[in-house]
Amino acid sequence: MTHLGYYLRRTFQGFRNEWTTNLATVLTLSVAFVLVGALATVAVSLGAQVERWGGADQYQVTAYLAPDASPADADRLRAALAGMDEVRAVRFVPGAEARRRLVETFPEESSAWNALDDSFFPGYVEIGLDPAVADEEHYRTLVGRIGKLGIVQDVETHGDWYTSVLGIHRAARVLAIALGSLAIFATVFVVSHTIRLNFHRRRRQVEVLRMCGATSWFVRIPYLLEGLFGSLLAAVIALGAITLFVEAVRDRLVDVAPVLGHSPIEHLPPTAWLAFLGVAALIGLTGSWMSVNKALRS
Amino acid sequence: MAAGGTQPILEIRHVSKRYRAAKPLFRDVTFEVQPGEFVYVTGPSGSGKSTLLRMVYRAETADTGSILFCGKDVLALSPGAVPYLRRNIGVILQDFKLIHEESVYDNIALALEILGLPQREIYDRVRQALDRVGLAGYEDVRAADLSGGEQQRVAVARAVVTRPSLVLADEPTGNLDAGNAAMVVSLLEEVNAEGTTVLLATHDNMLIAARPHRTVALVDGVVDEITRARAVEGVRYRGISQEALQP
Repeated sequence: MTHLGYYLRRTFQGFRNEWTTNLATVLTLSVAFVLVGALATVAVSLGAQVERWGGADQYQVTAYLAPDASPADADRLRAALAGMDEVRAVRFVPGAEARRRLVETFPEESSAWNALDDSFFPGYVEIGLDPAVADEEHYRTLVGRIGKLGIVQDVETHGDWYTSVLGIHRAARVLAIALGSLAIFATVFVVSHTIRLNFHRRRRQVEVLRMCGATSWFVRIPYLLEGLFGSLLAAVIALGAITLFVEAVRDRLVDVAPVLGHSPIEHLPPTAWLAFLGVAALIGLTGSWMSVNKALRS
Repeated sequence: MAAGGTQPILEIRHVSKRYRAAKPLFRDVTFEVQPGEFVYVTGPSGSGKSTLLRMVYRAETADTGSILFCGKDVLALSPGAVPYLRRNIGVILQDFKLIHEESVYDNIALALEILGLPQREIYDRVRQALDRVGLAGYEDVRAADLSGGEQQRVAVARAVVTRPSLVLADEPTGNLDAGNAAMVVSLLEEVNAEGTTVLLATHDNMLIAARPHRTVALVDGVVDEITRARAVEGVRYRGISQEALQP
């Protein structure tokens, strides 16, 4: 700890003296981190969508009632559904509320919705299924059983949407991991080469330090900090750029996909930020460690 | 400066070094340096003076023999122990070895930063060292902007600021004119007068003649002590003229 002030001074002095090389490295790393971060954002957003459509809390299906169904029929259906083991929640939405919801979602067409006959808005039942129904076959069987209940005219499962979004989500996750691994590998070498170049430029300083009795750690630490801070700075720039971008487009995307009722893009959660910064720190330390160790041995 | 203590500060025992199998650089070199002595190591170019000095602070290893500094064999030290040896030895080199882009203050303070001293003490000691070498007020000047003589004085300040028990000076006057050379040697003599042992490698016969101190010569791969008496007797060493040995 007695040397902390010295290490920090040397580190920032190194940044300042070799600012062009360090700036180029930080920007290169930022671009790589932005690519990985963007992909991670896509994966997180799709993951959130999957959750909404049937994730941790429940799988939502909607059972539309036949036009001639009476409130008593609806009550009987609700009781029948409540008796099923896989059903967690049941909520009856009368035709009038269904019309109101449509008007709220698409206010521009409100006059058209209001002009339609009541028979266009059959009541429906929102059914929340237990997450244990994650198995697709079980899910389809259950949906079939609901469809066969007396007054149910149609069952909307969002199943195709769900399956395709789930597929894209999985692909995005795999791609993010693959691209992330590649980026880690590449950025470690970028950091390593930059620190090696800086070390070479300050060779005389290293010679003087060693002549005066500096230990290897004393020589090494400012270079490790240089790699660490450079990489962290790049990660912060990348995360900042992604956050600003998401913030700028999030509300606009609500209009692009109004059926979702929310924006399809999400901010990276704090845990992702921490993971990102942790990996960036590791990249900086590993890259500089590699080059400084090699240079000190030579 | 007369020899002070009973135990030598430096004992070089049967040290041999060869870079080429056919021609050893030197062989079986043995001599002692007492605490507080000022000793010249001389000999013609390529005789191994610098190599011998580099061995003392473990920048080189020997093929055989031992070098005891304060009773410890520096050649047997583990790599991890070498930095701690060097903190007790001030080194001055012919090419000054300053960090050109840094200030005079930072160049000298570096040696104290390694010791982990508080900033206040570093500041005081650097100021004292600069006063001693006649460069007070040069703290903020870049090392690259100094003349050769000034740079070597900064190097002397850096070597003595840690108050080492031994200063090794390898051809410290090699790149300096006569005036600056005399100034640097005077500084080293002042340091020596305060009790620090100085081992100065040089092939400058004029210097040895002008500033007589005990002189160890490396000639044809072997070491020999040159005493004024032997010089007067007419003992000739290659590369050292009889006249140069006169006081």
